[in-house]
Amino acid sequence: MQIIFGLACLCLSLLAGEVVKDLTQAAIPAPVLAVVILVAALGVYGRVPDGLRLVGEFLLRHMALFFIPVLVGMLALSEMLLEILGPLSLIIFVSTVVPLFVTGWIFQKLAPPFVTPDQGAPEDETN
Amino acid sequence: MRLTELPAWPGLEGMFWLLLTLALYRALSWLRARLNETGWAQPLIWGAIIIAVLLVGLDIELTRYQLGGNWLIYILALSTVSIGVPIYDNRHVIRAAAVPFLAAMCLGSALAAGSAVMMAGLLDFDAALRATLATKSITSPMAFGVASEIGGLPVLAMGIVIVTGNFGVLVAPKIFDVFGITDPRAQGLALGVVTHGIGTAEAVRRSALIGSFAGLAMGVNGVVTSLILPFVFL
Repeated sequence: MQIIFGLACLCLSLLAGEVVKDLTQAAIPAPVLAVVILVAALGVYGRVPDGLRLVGEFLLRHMALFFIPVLVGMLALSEMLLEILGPLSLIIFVSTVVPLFVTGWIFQKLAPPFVTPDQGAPEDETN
Repeated sequence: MRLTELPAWPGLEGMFWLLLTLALYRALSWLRARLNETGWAQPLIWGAIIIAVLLVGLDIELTRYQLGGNWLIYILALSTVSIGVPIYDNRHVIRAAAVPFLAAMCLGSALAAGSAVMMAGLLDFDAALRATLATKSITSPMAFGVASEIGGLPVLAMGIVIVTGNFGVLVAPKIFDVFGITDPRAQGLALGVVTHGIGTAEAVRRSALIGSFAGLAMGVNGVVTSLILPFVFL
């Protein structure tokens, strides 16, 4: 039952996301709206229900699995990809290395010095 | 609903590909654990490569694979929403450093997307490709939706995010080392913003603190960028 409840929470968030998208006609994907709605709902509720944690952490931990068919789907784009492979690699290289450095550096400059490590519940796996 | 209107069942062929995907994921995860969790051994990348090589080598059409593969893609929408759980869990982590967190996140994210789009412009990429690259600093399930909203190519968007994540995880330790970024919170934040889920998973393996910053940065950045991009591109 817990798992059903967890799945229902996620589906309900998605449904709410779709409704908001429909009402506002925003060009924002419904799943993104659903995340905002879920976080707000959890804030009101005060904690994460056990079933939702069970399902949510499972889905996040194995997200890589659900992406395999997506990456395989890039086969359909292989001709175009081969054509732009060089420039695309260059773009990915620069736009990964530079922000990695800048993001870390700015935070380190602005944040109060790091003193005691506090623990947060980690979350997981892949994009 | 009439029976004929049910979605296509995986059938014998689809079920075979579905099972093969599951088996590869399991086997490659095991292998990665044996290889001390090295960043080179991502089950996602190698699983997809092995299947792609099989499909091309055996001359099997992609749609045959998708009979099974699509079933996994349906679950992605639910996984995306699940990101809300760690965001909620980690809400206390940023309170202490909310301003630097948001400032660094927004700048890093704008830089990742901006530099990619600008270079794409210089290299004469068409509008669809530029829109696709703009989503590269959003975690991929969200990038998928955003890319279709702003006229990019959703599948390519996810692919680019995944490749970026893998590449970023491989180079990040060297970058942090060279530029003296030693604050674990800063490392986590950078990993979450730039390398998304793959970097976050990597960060979790290093420490819970780096991991929680990365997870939070990935989620918040994904949401914020998704909310902004449509207005920039439409």
